[in-house]
Amino acid sequence: MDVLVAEDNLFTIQQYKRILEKNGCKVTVAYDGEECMQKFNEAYLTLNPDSLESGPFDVVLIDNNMPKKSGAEVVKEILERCPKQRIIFASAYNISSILNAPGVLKESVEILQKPFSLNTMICKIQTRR
Amino acid sequence: MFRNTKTSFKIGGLVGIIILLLGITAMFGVFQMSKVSNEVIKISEQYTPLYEIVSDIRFQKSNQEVSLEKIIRLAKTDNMEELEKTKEDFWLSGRAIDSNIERAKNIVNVGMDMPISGKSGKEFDILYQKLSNIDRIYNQYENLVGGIFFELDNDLLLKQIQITENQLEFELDSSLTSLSILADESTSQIEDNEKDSLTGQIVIITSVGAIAATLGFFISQINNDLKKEVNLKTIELKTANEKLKELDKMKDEFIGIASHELKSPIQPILGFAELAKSGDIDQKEAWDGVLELANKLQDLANAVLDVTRIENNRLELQIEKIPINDIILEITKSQKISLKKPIIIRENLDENIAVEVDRVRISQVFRNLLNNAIKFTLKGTITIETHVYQDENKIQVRVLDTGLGIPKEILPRIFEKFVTKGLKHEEQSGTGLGLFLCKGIIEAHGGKISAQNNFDCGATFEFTIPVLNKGQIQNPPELSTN
Repeated sequence: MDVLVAEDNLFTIQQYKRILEKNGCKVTVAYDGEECMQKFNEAYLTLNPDSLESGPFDVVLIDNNMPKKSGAEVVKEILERCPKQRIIFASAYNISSILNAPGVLKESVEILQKPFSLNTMICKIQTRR
Repeated sequence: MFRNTKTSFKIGGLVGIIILLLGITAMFGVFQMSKVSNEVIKISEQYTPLYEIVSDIRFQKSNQEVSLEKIIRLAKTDNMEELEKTKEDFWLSGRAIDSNIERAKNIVNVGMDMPISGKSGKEFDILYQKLSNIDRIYNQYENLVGGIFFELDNDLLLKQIQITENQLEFELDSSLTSLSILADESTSQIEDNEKDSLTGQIVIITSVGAIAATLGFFISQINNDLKKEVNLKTIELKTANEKLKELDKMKDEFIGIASHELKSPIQPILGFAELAKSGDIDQKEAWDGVLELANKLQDLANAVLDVTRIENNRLELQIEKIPINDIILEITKSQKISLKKPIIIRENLDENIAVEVDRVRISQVFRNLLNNAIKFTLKGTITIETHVYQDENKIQVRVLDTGLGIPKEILPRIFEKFVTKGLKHEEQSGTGLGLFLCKGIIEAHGGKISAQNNFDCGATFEFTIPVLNKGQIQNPPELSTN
């Protein structure tokens, strides 16, 4: 699986990378919102026209609280370009307040409430909805 | 509240004064009227019977004159029976006159004792004098008549009787004229009194009316003031309410962010534990990571506590006298040892004077500013400067770097809570509360702190504190909500 991970905590992102690679994933990392969009766009350019909608990654795992551009903004931009891109949104904030705020996240976005077990994350990523 | 009470007292007082003045006017009017009517009754009670009595005396006197003429005529005849009867008539009239004079004197005496104002009092004295004259002349007359009864042909005696009669006539006429004049005068005096009383009442009512109108004007002024006060208070309350709401919102936001920040390290701690347990990382790496995160958590918890202390004006300072350069050099020395970047830390320090500060708190401020400078400077120089202003009892400490500088959009809010959060990478991020705490600590020392970008590159943070605090250590001023 091809996974893009955006997370500003250095320890956390290293842990994600390690466990994902252990489970056979190809991992691209970004340390802030802008870098995440940059990595996403780079991958998007390599896509063949048939799979533009579903996006360049199998999963994009995005933390909400990131420098330069928030996770919610990144999600919005990605879905505008690739409406079928699978996204897992991770946040330590109260998830219900994010879900209840109209127009912040689309229903298609999956949610992971921090803190979570790395195994839970792997299971979530590997489980196709 | 106090001002409102005062205003309502003013209004109550003014209304009370108006009512009091109106009451006094009404009472004065009633008193005057009753006084005037009493005088009318008293005087009319005196003059009317007096006039009747004196008229009766005059009438009886005429009868006596007629009787005397008849007696003289009868004496020349032998009709003794008729003569004696006429003499009896004469003396009967005489007794009536004596009795009338006595009655008149009694009435005048009563009149003299009455507390009547104006001329009437004196007039009663004159009347008494006249009645005494009448009494005296009449006694003379009776004596002369008594004499003539024995010598009816005594021409001299008859002549004297004639003279006395004339005198009596004159006195009686004079008394009647006086009484008539006095009755008229008293009536006109009463009328004058009534006029005076009416004029007085009109003047008082007009004055009270004018005073009431003036007071009314003032009351309306006070009412306007009261309205303005109420409006002002309403606006103040609204503003205070909005400020409270804003503070409440800020507090909620602070709690939200703080709790999020406190939660954030839990994810990597759990990750370290999970990976170490499964053997994916070695124990040392896991423990090092956990230790670092635990320290961060402790720093954050301490910072949150300090924020609460500053916001509630409960930051306690342990003031002691310490050479300022010692504090600076101690911190720069340890930072130089752990420095991993190509940065030179240069000290350019003024005289090492002793300052009265809280060593721990001032060290916290300086360490924070130096750490920030190192964090945002990739390479170059960090300069620490101090300037002592002895005359102004202050010392300035500056930290200049050649780093990234402060983004324009956050420079005006750089000393607020969590402003710097989310704008930088993990290696640059702190609690987001450091500069807020610096400002609170410096202001608690009676000093000032500021930040600016340098012309070429990097930023400068500087703070000024009193050298000797001279009791000017104060609680931090109310922190700006802007």
